[in-house]
Amino acid sequence: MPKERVVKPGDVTQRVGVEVIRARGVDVEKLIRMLIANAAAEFASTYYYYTILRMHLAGHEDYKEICEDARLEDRAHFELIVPRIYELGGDLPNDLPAFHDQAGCRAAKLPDPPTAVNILILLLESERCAIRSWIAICDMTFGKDPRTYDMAARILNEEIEHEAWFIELLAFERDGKSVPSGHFRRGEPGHAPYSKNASFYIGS
Amino acid sequence: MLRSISEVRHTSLATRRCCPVKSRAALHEAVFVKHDTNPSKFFDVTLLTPREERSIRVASDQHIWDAAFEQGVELPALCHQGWCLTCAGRIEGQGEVDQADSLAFFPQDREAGFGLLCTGRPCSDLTIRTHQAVEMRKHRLKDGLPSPYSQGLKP
Repeated sequence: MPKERVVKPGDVTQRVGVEVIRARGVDVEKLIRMLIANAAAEFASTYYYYTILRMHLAGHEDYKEICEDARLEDRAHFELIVPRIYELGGDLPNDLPAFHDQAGCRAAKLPDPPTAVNILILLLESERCAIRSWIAICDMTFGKDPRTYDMAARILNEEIEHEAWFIELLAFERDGKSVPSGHFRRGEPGHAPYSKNASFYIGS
Repeated sequence: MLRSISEVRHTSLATRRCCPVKSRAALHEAVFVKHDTNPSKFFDVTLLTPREERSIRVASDQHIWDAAFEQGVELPALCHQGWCLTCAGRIEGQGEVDQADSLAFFPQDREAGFGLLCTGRPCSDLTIRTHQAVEMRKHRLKDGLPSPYSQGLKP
């Protein structure tokens, strides 16, 4: 059994919830930094900029709706990550530009020209970066930190679905090809079935 | 105030290519359009990794990271977009890397000898010290530039 540092009764300077995962080999400080980088990517690189991207999808109302789902689900991811950062003993930078600059994925800034194809490429590549970032957290926590792993896996599930959506839309819009995502539909905008522990199937 | 990365890109892109980009259309092309450069030119790239020294051949239209992977050298990478610094390397001695495919690469990075291998293409023979993410992040922080730490890189 892994040996953990004993937290004395009544001690509020240490957390058993942290020491047990440290004892199992997690570099907690590194994990906190990675979670902050991913929180910055979800909030500052995607949620904020997706807001602008969806505004520029006029005439493509279906794409706009799907962009909106991805946008709100990324916000849900941010909301899910932040409590875990604090639980682990970390905190968010009290400076938005500093937070923004730590993001592991680039800001999804409106492309020039803001055509549907260019926006879909940007959305697709943003989701791909998110997948890579979350699988890194999964790799780091698998078998050691079930709470962070569960959260990361839920987010990863949704990021993988987002990638599939944007592949489908880009293939159709740019190449005139059908590359189905394999998914049906979300419920309310921002449904986030994995990260909000909601029903996967609507109307069932 | 949030820095505008695109502004930085527009000022820095032109200075980071082997062949300078001049027009806005060309900048757009650098971001969204696949390059169709002459692939017939190859360069010898020596990689100084923490474990070993390896020599690989890299085509002028190929990213160094991709060529290394194909030739059995596994280098760190995460975003594969030239943003997160995970793949950073440092050029030793003379040599030039085209970073036009990188999402964020600054003139200061070039001056300090850094390169992002996932999106860097060789313009000459090179010797590159790999696994320089921590050092590149330190350099970015010192210059007040965006310093992602997707791999939990210290400091």
